[in-house]
Formats: sequence, structure tokens, C-alpha cells
Amino acid sequence: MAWSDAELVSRTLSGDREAFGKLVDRHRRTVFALALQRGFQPAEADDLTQEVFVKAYKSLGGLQDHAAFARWMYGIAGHVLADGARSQKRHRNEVALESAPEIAAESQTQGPGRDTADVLRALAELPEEQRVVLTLRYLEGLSPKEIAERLGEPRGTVRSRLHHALQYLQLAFGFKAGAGAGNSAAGSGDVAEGAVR
Amino acid sequence: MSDAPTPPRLFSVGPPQPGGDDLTCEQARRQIERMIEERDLKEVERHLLLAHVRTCAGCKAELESFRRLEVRLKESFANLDTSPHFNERLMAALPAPGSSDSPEWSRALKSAAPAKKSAHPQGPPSGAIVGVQGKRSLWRVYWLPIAMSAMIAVALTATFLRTRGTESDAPPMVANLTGDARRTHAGIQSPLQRMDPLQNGDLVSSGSEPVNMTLTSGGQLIASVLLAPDSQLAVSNRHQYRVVAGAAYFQVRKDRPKASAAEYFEVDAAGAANVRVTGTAFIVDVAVAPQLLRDQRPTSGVAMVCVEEGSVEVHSAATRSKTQVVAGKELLVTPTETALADSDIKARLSRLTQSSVSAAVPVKVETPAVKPVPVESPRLPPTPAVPFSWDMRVEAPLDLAGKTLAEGIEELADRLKRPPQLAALAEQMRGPLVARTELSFSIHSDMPLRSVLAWMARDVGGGFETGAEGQKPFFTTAPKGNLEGAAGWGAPPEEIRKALERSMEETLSESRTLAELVDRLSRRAGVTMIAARGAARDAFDRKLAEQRIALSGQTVLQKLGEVLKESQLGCAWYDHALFIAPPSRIEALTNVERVVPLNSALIGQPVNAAWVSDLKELVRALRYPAPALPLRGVHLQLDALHGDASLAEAKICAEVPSVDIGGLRFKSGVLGHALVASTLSELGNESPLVSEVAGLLSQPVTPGPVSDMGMLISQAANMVSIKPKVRFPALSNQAFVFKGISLGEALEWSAWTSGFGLKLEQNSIVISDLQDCYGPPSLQVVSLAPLVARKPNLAAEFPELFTRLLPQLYPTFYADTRVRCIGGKLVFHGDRRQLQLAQRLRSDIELALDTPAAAKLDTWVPPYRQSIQANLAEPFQGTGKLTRSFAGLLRQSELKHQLRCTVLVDPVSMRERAADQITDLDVSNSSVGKVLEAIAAKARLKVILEGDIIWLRP
Repeated sequence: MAWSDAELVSRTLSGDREAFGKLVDRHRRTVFALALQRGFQPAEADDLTQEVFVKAYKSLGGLQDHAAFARWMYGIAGHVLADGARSQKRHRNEVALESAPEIAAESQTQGPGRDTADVLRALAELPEEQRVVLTLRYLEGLSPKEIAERLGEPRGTVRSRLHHALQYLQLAFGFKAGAGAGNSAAGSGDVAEGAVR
Repeated sequence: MSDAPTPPRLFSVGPPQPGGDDLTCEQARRQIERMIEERDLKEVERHLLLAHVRTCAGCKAELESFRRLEVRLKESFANLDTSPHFNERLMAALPAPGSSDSPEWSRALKSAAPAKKSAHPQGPPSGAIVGVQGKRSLWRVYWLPIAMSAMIAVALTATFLRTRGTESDAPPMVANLTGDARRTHAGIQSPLQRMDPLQNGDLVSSGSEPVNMTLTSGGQLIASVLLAPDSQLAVSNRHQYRVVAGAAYFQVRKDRPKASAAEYFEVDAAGAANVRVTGTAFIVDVAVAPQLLRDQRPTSGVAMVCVEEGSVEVHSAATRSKTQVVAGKELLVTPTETALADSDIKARLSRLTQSSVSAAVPVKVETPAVKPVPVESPRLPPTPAVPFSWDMRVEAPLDLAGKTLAEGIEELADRLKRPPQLAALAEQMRGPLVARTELSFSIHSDMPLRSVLAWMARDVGGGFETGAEGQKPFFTTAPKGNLEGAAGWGAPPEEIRKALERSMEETLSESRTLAELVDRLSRRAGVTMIAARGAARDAFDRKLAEQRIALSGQTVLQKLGEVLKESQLGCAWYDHALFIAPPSRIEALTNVERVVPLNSALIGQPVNAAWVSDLKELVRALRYPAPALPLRGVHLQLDALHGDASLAEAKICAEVPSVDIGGLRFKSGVLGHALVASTLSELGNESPLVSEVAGLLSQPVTPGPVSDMGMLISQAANMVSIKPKVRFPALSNQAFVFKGISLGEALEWSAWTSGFGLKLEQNSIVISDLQDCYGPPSLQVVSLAPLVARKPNLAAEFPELFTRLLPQLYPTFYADTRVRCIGGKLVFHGDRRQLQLAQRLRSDIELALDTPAAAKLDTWVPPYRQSIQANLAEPFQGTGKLTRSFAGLLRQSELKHQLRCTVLVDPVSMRERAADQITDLDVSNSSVGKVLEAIAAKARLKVILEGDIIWLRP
């Protein structure tokens, strides 16, 4: 059985560094994705993700509600990423995202491809809270209920953020009904079938 | 096909009209959003939504747009991760414990560590002493409030326990009850009712009839108890019972609630044979002789313990023995001894519960020196003459309308002489769904038991499954359309139609609900009719309440027609009943995967182009649901075909009657099934020629070179209309070697070599550009579910298999296509032809799963590819050196004879290089493939294996 965040925090605080490693394993991709969404290069995002967790580790003693680790850590991530953006004067730009694969190859970091870069660019236009919800949903596969529990937000709020984010992205990608290429009869039938399953 | 009889209109679902579904577009869009955002659509909602999007282009587009977005998001996030050694680097970057930059809490931890050693006899370090002293001083300050709090807590706990009891003492609840029982509580006797709790000291008594109880605790089942007539059962708590008089039979569940793993289940047989069991599922069958009880003889009881599953420990208080009993054994516990014997648990269950224990005679133990009671208890009723089967007939009439599901099951059980299988099913009859919802129909024509149960479940919004062999049947909350063994879809059989023709003069204007109307019609015809619950039925009920509707038809059928017209409902013969529901609902409910065996229709028949064409057209219609085709509006999706050849390739049937065609698998609603069934029926009856188009496609091409496309078209044009929409280049000097290929396929490949496609349109073959024929490139999804269903253990290997094989088998088609697996589905961006190829590969793999090849999927290729590879590896028969033109060499007789597959040459290259002279081509000790490669190389072409053809291109 997997340890809960609260249990892992408690174990970390009792001196079990492996427990903190497990927390990192659990949340690092989300933090990394949030960094990429802010326009950082994969290598920079990697460093910033590390910085987030180091800060979290150092401040762990001040965390009152151990079960709220994720929410608390996202807060730290927000500060670290904002500081990173300010101090390095890095802003979202297309070049950075487009060139990500090459950089990723050089740095041995799995970076976003062209499609991913498009998605990240579109996500960058979303408010932070919508980005977080969307990332938790599609990166970690959490349900709105689980996202609400993790963020300590009402489920309705999470749903609303998800709804608005999806609506925006539909338009951004030209997926909105009527836009974009139509589908073949057989193919669309299959898609519809799959979608409803 | 077009001549194929369609079911009578009355029983046709008909093409669902936009907006005519249960869902409005607004509702559908909300459902789509909910499905995407929450993923919590229920089965029914999904079916309704599916039905709606099939008929509503706007909502379908909306759904697809969301799906595309989801796929894109998931794909984008799927590969995002930090660098490979992120964790190691991070852990190295964390401050070391005790270092100057380590966090405060870590330092505190470090300093606290010696404190733990304070209990060590060597003596605590100073830090620890401070800590202890601190605690001591706190204790001095707060000892009085702490002590008082503790006393209050103890008092409160004691009060609580006295009034409420511990969890394990929680009283059992009578979740289900049949028969008249009385409960004596605190000296007051009253009728025992469903949902009554049984408290400590309660005495449950049966009268002249047996009593059947289902006991629960905290909503969880404990046991089923059958109390024989004139018996008494004393209850202590949920796991302690005492048979005071008569006999009782307990079937104790494995998953019963327990306060702890050690909580036993105890049945006391008159204080003599005391059975204490901890363990899994078991049966306790206890009998006592009351007259002996009155004598206070301690040797009056006997108990039989049968173990259904796992092993249990049985304690006999009388003999002070403890016996381990495993599944399949039974233990007879008497006052003087215990006897272990083999047990046939099913037989025992059957004997114990059949026709209740009304015939039960408590075991009378004559003397204290009890002889071992025979294992075959004398109070067991005889085995019934008719063996139980889920398909056994339930004779009509059976009144169910107005009864709850639980009562309905009881009614059914009574009718069938209470088979134990139904008793087991009755255990599930709990919860508000079955307790409150009344059945709305009765059985008016004989039906299989399985169908009766399924209709009862469907009527209350659930489903019923008998499960796999060896599993117990169960009701589900999710509706399930398909039924194992269910027969008859769409149009009713002849005898039912005749029954519906019975005259009926009453106008039925007094009926107030649709269910009532339908029941009257049903009763008169002697045919079970069931009106589905839902908004449509409610609306009609309101209409009936507001205005009297008089039915003027002279027969049941005519009246039924009027009802359907008034209610705008559809009707289909489904699972031995006439099901009356909105058309979309019927389609949704019956939208199941079916397999129609083709062998009987096709194998062994004389060559008959008619049914080949029929079947081909049917398949074409299924695969290309063009608006002009007669299946428009019917949901019918061909999924796969079992057999050695794909139906779409037209290699089956007349041409190859020996091919073992397993069956046609497709997914459809009732009308779709009826169409397929009637088509196959017609095929089997050597139906007249319906269409020549499909027949053309299935005609074999004469093996050998074809000089140009025009010749091919001329050959085809004799049989069917071919309409080139594009300017088609003459494929002069083409060197096709058609082998094992149909004319339709040859046309399609020929068109493809020139960058065109082929499609069927209104009984004509149209040659047009690729996009016109196969649709624009778009997101295509191929479900891997059929494969996973067959071999779940290989589920993880299938995606890799497809991503390896598709580009390998179709290098041109999938050159730039990235195939991914998302959620058990292959997803790629491509046209319909690519979709067909992926589906074909899926069928090939599916067939391979039943062969030894399944063990080596990592190196597996389809049989047709193996055949080509083997062909190319054969030694070339010719010797010496060849000198001829490029086209001439391809037509070289040895090569032509040895090749057993189709060879195509890029038409442009062929035009340019056909006459190029190739001299002194050494073919000594060469293989067929090497010769082909050498010829191609001389013309600066590559040999590409594309599907089941060889393709020479630059």
C-alpha cells in the first residue's frame, strides 16, 4: 500500500530521507510541468524543480497539516518559479519552446516535442490556478474530486477552472466544434465510440 | 441487399431523428462536458449520449473536439519528466543531517536522538534529563485536571458501552424476510418484520411454515437463515445464535462483518452441540429435540457443519474437541462425538433449501448415548425431478407487476419450487433499489428463467448476470444489454406475431398508465410486453391522465400500433419479450457486440455470385456508411471478422469455399442485427442478385501482368459502373502480377499507385482523390479491447506490437504517422484507409492469439507477410545472365511463375523506365527476392513490401 503524503511527511520529519524521496517521486513531474508552462527551458525547469523541493525540505518543519503537503509545496513552487522568472528575466517565448527538443537532447532531459511545445504555449496563457488544475488532471490523471482534496479547494471551483481551461484550449487549438478538419465517417464513428466508453 | 426484407415497421426502431432522442442537444453537451470533466457518466447516460451523438452532427463534433483536446493534452503531458537522475541529484543537494545548513527540524531531530537513549542503563545524556524534567514539571502543574478528565472519560465510556454495546455486539438486522415469524422481545411477542433489528435475548419463532431470513449488520450480509416450522431461535448478537427448538439452517458468508479477525460465529444447538467457527464461508445445520430439552438433558442437539470455502475450525463444547474442516468436508457434531465426512456442498445446499424445510422433522435423539446421526439427514426433502438451469422455462402467467424485486424473486422461487440458486440470489435483495421499486410488468408468455430475471433487473434500472461458469449469479446496478444465450432480436418470431393478431375489441380507455395499457395488451395476446421506464413513459402517462385515449384497433397488434404512435415509442422483440421504449433506448440497450456464424450461410454452398455480392455490399455498407446506402441511420459497426481471410478482401465465400470463416462480428442495435440476420438468411437461401457492385469486387483477377489501368477498368466496366472523378493516367506497360487478389483490390491498389482512391457510391465505383475516398486526415482511434479481452495477460504487449508492425507492414502508409496507445486505444492521425489497415492488423493479431504464434508476438508477422517473405527467399529457378528491358524482365517467365504475390511498380517510373535495357543481370544462385531487387536496382527502384503486395518505387 502506498504511503499517504501525510505519512511520508511524518516519516521525513522523523529522519527518514527516503520518505522525502518518495514525496519527490510523487510530485516532481507536476512541478516540472508547471515550470515548463512558465516558459523555462527543460534544464532550467529541472533546476527550479530541484530548488522547489530543497526549499520544501528545509521548511518542512513548519508544515502544520501534513496532509496538505502538495498544496503547500505548490505554493512554494509558485514563489520559486516566479522568482526564477524575475531574476533570470526569462519570459515565455516561442523560440525557447520550439527549441526545447534540441536542448533536451543535449541536456539528457526529456523535453517537450513540437506538439507539447504548442500545448505548453497555450497553457502559458491560462491563469496559474487553471494551469495547476489542468496539470493535475492530465499529468497525474486526478479526478476533480481528488484535485479538490489535494488543493483544499471546493470541488465546484476545481470543476469551474477545468471547464474554463478546456473551453479556452478548445478554441486555442481550433478544436471547437465546427472548426478544424472534419473526420471521416468510419474514423469519427470510432472516436465517438471510444469517447463514450 | 436492397431486396432483403426489412422487419415490419411496427417492430422497427427506425432511423433516430435529430432531436428525437431522449437527450436534447443542450443536455447532451452538458453530459459531454461532465464526461470529460468528471468522468462519472453512468452506463445508461453513456448509452443515451452515444445514441444522441450518432444522430446529431453538432454534438458529435463537440464530443470529438473534446476528445481530440484530451488526447492532445494527455500526449503532451505523458512524456514530461525531469532528467533521468533527478532524484539522486536532489537527494545529494539536500542538506546533510546535522550540517550547519540543515533545517531546524532536522537539527532538533538530531539532538532529540540521544533522548531516546535515556532509558538506557548507562544513563541518559544531559539533554535527555532536561526533557524529562520538563515533562515532570508539567505533570506537577496539570495532574489534577488530567486525572479528573480521565475519570470522566472512563465513566462516559462505561455508560456508552452499557447502552450501546461494542461493535461486535451490534444487533443483526432482518434485511429480508419471507414467511410468518414472531419475535419475542422483553417478554412481548410481535410479528417480525423486515428491517427489524434482533436484540440480545430476542427469540424468533416460526409457525407452521418455514421462515427465511437474511441477516445483516451495518449494511453487510452476515448469513441466510432458514428456520424450520415450529422452531425457535434465540439471538445474542450478530454472531451468536442458539437453536432452542426445531431446526435451523445457516448459510454464513465469508465476508460477514467482524469486529476482529478472531470473531467467531457461534450456533448453539440446545447447549449440547456448540459450534464455534472462525473462518470463511460455511453452513451450519442445527437441529434439537425440544422434548429432550425439557428434560434438561444435555445431549439433545446435533449440528452439521459444511465448509463451502477455505477451512474452518469447529469447536464442539460437548466433546471439548476442536476440528479443522476444509472445503468439501462436513463435520457432524453430536453430544458425544464428531464425525468428519466428505461433503457435496451443492447437493447439501440443494437438499436443504428445496421446497423449504417445511417437511423438516427435527432429529430426535432417543437416548443420551446417542448414535451418530447419519450424515444423510432424514429431514432433507427429496431432490426435484426437473434439474435446475438458468434457461429452464418459467411458465406464464406470472404476476409480477406491483411487486418489489425481492417479492418478485420470491414469487419466482415459489413457482420453481425454491431452487437453492434462487435462494442465493435472494441474498442480494437488499437496498432501496430493490426494496422500493415496484416491477411494472408481468410475464404472459413462457420465458427462460434467465430472461425473466434480466427483465426484472432492467425494469428496476439494473442488470443481471449469471457470470462465468462456477460463479454465482448476481444483480448489478449497471444495466446490461447483452445476455448470454438470449435469442431473438428485432422482429418477433412467427408464433408471437400470430398471437398479436388476436382480436381485442375493448377500447382500453380506462387505462391510466402506459404500463397498465401494455399489461392489458400483453395479457390478451399472451405475450410478455414490457414498457421501459423513463421520461417518454412518464410523458405518455401524463397524456393518458389528461385525456382518455381509446384504441380503436381490432387486434392486439393494431392497438399496440396505436399505442406506439401515440407515445412515439418504438418496439422490438428482445430477449423473449416485446420491449417498448424510445427508439434510441432500444438501440442503446441492445447495442451489443454480436457474432453471427457465417459457416452455415457460406460454406458448402455452390458458387453463387449473388450472395457474395450481397455480403460484400453489406460489408461495404458497414465499413463505408455512406448516406446513400440502405443502412443509413442504423448503428452497425463492423468490428472484425474471424477466419483466415478478411471479408473486405473478398477472398472468401464462393471463390474459396473451404476457408473456415468463423463468424462476422459486429456491434449493433436490434435493427442492425435484424438486417444482418436477414441478409445472411437470404444468402443462405441463394438470394437473387441484388447488386453487382460488390460482386465485382470479389471477382478474382486473372493472374498475370496487366498492361494498363484502362484494361482493368474495361474488365470491371462490363459488370459495374465505374466513375473516375479524376483524370486517370494510363498505366501503360505496367507489370502487375496479380495473384490471390480480387478485382476490387486490384483496382484499389492500382488507383493508389497513382495517388488515388476507390469508393463505393450508389452502386458505382468511384475513383477519386484520396481525401474524397478516405476522408481528410483526422484523429483515428482503434480499440484494442477485442485483443485484451482474449488475452488480458498480453495487454501490455499489444501497443508495442502495433507500433512495430504498422510501419513494418505498411511502410508507405505509416511513414509519417505516429501511432500511440492511449487508454487501451491506438490513436493516430490519418485517413480512413489507414484506419482500415490498422483494423485489419487487429483482426490478424486476434486470429493469431488462438495459435501457438501468441507465444512469440514480439517476432510475429501476419501470415500473408510470412508467405511473401518465404516466397522471396525461395531459390530462383533461372540460371545465367538475363538481358531484357526493365518491363520485360519483370514479366520474365521464371520470375512471373515463381512469384505468388502481387507486384506493383510506381507508374511514373514504369513509364520512364519500362524500355530501359538491363543487360547481363546475373541470377545464378540467387533467390526470387534477390532477382527482384536486382531488377529494381537497375531501374533505380527499391523493393518495398506494402501489406500483401510488393511495391517497386523510387
